[in-house]
Amino acid sequence: MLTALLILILGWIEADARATVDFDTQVLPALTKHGCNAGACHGAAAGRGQFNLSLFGSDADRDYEAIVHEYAGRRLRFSDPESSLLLTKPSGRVAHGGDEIFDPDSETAGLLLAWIEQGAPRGGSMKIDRLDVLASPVILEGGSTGYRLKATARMADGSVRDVSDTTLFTIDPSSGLGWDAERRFAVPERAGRHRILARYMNRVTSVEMIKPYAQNGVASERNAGQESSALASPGDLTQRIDAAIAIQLAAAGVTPAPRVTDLQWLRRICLDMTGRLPTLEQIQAFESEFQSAPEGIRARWIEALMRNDAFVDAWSWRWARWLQLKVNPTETKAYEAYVAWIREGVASDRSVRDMGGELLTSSGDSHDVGPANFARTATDPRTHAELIGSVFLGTRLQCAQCHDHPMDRWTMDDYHGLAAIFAGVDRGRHVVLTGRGQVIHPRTKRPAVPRIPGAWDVHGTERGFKQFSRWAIAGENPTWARVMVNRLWHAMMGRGLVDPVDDFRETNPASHPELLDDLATEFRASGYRIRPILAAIAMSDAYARGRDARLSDVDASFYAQCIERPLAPELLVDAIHDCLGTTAIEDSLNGATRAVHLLDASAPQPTLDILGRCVRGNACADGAQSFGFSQQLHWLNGTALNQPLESKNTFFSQAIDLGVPNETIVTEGYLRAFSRYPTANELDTWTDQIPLARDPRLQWYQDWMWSLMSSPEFLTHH
Amino acid sequence: MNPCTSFHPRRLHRRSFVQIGSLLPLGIGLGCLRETRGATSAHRVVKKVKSCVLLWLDGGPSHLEMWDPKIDAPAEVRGPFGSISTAIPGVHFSECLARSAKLADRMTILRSLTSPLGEHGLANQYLLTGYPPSPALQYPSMGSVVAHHRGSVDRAFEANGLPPYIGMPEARTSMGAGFLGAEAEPFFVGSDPASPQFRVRDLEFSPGVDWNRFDRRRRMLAQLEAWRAEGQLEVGSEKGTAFEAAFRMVDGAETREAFDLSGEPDSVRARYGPRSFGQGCLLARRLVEREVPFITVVQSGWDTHENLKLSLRDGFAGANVGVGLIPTFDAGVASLIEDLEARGLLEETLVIAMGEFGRTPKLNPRGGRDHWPRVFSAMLCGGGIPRGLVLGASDRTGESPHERPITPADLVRTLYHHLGIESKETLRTPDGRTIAIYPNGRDIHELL
Repeated sequence: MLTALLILILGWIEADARATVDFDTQVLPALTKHGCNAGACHGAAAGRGQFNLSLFGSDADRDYEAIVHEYAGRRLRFSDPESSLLLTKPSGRVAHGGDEIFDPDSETAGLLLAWIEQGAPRGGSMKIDRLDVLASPVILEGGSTGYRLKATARMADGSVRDVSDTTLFTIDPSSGLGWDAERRFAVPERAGRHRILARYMNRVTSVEMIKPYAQNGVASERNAGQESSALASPGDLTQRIDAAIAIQLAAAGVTPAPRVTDLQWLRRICLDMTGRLPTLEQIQAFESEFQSAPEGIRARWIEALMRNDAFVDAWSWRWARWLQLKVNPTETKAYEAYVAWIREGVASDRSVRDMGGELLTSSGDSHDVGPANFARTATDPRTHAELIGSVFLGTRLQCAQCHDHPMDRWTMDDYHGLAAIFAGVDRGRHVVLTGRGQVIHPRTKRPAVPRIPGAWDVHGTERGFKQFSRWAIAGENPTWARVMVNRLWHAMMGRGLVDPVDDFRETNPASHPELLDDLATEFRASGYRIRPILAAIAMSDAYARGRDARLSDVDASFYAQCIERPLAPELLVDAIHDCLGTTAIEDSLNGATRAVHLLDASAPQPTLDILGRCVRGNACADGAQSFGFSQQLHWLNGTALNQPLESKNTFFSQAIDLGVPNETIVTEGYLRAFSRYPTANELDTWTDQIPLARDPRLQWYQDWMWSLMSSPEFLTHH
Repeated sequence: MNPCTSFHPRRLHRRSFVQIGSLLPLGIGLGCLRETRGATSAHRVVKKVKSCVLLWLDGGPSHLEMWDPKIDAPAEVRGPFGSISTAIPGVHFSECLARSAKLADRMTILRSLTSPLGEHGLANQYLLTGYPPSPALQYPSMGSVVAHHRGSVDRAFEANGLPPYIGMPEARTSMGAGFLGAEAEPFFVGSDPASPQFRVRDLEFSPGVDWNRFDRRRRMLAQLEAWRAEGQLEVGSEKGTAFEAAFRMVDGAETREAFDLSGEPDSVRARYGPRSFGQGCLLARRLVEREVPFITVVQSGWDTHENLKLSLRDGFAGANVGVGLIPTFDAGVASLIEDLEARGLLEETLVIAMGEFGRTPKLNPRGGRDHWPRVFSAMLCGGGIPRGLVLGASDRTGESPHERPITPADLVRTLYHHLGIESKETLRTPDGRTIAIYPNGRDIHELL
């Protein structure tokens, strides 16, 4: 009750006496605040009940027209303002499909009434430059922390106003955040990271609060925003990574999981660098080196693995995913040229900036010029714009095709302007970047003005795609560097700092913004080369963390423990054969010997497809998802695992023929599948069950390996 | 993120100041309830629908040759077939739907479906998900929504060992889980139920594996799990074995039996028709008997751009008895309805027959019809759907809706209502957006 009183006092703000009401900065934001122009209501593309507003008030001119003039002007009644439909409907006095939205006595009703009484003036068109939201901590009774939210708008004319009253704050209902909308007071109830979305005029932003976990019982309340700005630690990138992670862990009151064992670290680094499980030889070499020269062993192994041919396989496969590689199945030459270009780039650790530039600006015969195939991935200017948005800006521009992006700053002009830049691309075998071609802007019904999204309209003599390339890739603070280091971080850590990795937007900020900037700066400083960044991440403590059951409630974005994730189907299929010592039988992988060589995920491959290979457009942008029903059954009874188990070439089949004792075979099985030794109990339990006769013994091993390989310890990256 | 969720909770008005502190934890997420409250309160309480069978006529069935014949129209509109009267006085079906016609008094026929989408991929997304295709989001199909819903609400799936969403024979685009992910994906049997070699994909053991070995594998895996649970290992602590569902399905004699058509008398199998579709309907009936929530039977080949006589009725040149698309469909759907009714299951089973659009009102020069989404028909039966109702009408030539236009979104939200999903229920995308299950449309109140 005391808490309630405190909030009440803090939150009490007396409404100002009414001056002239402004449409852009008061009326529309009020409608937005009450959800009137949300996608589920009048903001839907088709509107509701014949009343159509722009989504979240992004188009003030159109909305003014709809409110004041459409419907024969019956939405406003100047002779009797109180009976205007704009008031009577949402306040429930006249039947309203959306029921009662606000009380007739509410401030909003008063505001709308005043505006109508004043003759519903349009007022001057006012643009907003930026929206800032501050969450000020307030210690509540009992020592917990609540936050008062304040929204400030910086307008185009330079004025700064407090717009807290008319800003729409949105809370994720499942977030465990107590929220008093009237007083703009938030109380995190569940420990962890909380975000509130704020929307005013056509700007959205978010503000973050961290409630510490009660772990160890010594948590102290801190505001993450204040702490993270203190990141100025010296040292190399690896140390700075760990410092950035540690600061947030401290703010969250979390003690991270201890390091994994050395062999588990080896498994992890082999999977990440080469896409393969460590071989027996690698395990032995690592162990003996650990005996003889433990100093610097991890750095040496990271370096060595990056020189391994399998590194080129694994990271070319990742590149193919990033680029959403897809080639016409009848044009083998195009596929080969594209793949050769990618592999060459990975093998020589080429500058990613140069590679990006070539992807954006290459033309010519796509059967010779590998990167020219990038333009052919798209089918038309709009998909081209979306592809570029995803690959180079890490952003989903799609929403802005039909309306200004509701969760970001992208407008329809940005979307169609970017499409217009690539409208003149001839996507045949001979890629030509012509200046011709147009895209019709659906709002103006005229050709869209070519535009660098969020920046400027294309002008001057330099071609649009060159300007775009310069802006996105080569400029002062290119998005591409941040997008790429985020992908590298995601590949190594199992989660992007911005997550999902293709969803950079104003309302989805990085978990560790300074770290993302730091990685991007270092990336540029090191000539846009991937390997130094990978090495720095791999050397960190954050990378080497194990798991700890006590941390199961802690949000993954704190990196308190290793993020366990399923192996991507390609890596899984290769791991089956590496683990068993078999090779993929002829034609089972479209002629390839390893699944990781199949870079075009749109080319059908039954095993990979049934195991849930990520195909574009599905909910698996991160590459692997847990087994659904068909996958489970296939793993149980299908060919992917059973066929290799039956092979004469499995390590255990050969060992049996050579008379190897069971202890040795079981140990080898553990090392191959789990990259660790069995415990004494495990070894005893298994060896006690093994039949003596050859055939039953072989079958026992088949079943046993099946079970090892069906265990999460094999199926996941951990 | 749903903007509605920041609405003021209705009771949290200034008048009730004193309660604010104590209400804080509850004061969220109520805003959208009001949107369609009026619609739900009017709904009758009917027998709970346990299963839904979707008969998907892939390619776009001709409304003019099925449920909406134009007897009096000129020959190029009327098409090659005559019409017959049905069990609903004054209502005619195409003459090829002889058995369906006798059961028309159990059905609702929608004759005024309308959509702007005339391309297969876009149109089937609209019909199967209720949402017009969006480049920004892949919406889940009805079956996946139901599977997801039952999985989280009833756990029906645990009772019988069968997947909650089963399709046959092979998957078609737009029938998947979209943003809901792997656990809501359909299980397609991957084999032709009419074939003597019919085997549900991966349900039988791999060669050389028998029950003993299956049990041993399961035991061994359970042993590994037990060690993990003891905390010897910190790996994989998140959840139990990933194979429980598959184990249960392979394990249960009943689940195998569910797919075993050989147990059906020859006369029954014959009644459903010899083709894949008919036997699929029979299989669907067996799955309904086992309370599988959603079953899709796909009939391919409805994209009939030429020679309607051959494709729709005869099946092959010179056929004495037609085995084309319509007779095949007719035998399957009629047998399914008859059997469900005889078993007392029709009221708790919703049967839907539809495709992605209709066909052009005028025959083309090749004696076929092309894509026509402006007006088309669908059949609904059972599950509390009114009996003997023809809803909406196309105009004289089957070109446009004449009265009561119904969009796919209207249809899908109404079907969701029948399937026990409420209007306020939502789904979450992986990136945290809240999406209403009910697409944006109007309930078809005549069906409620």
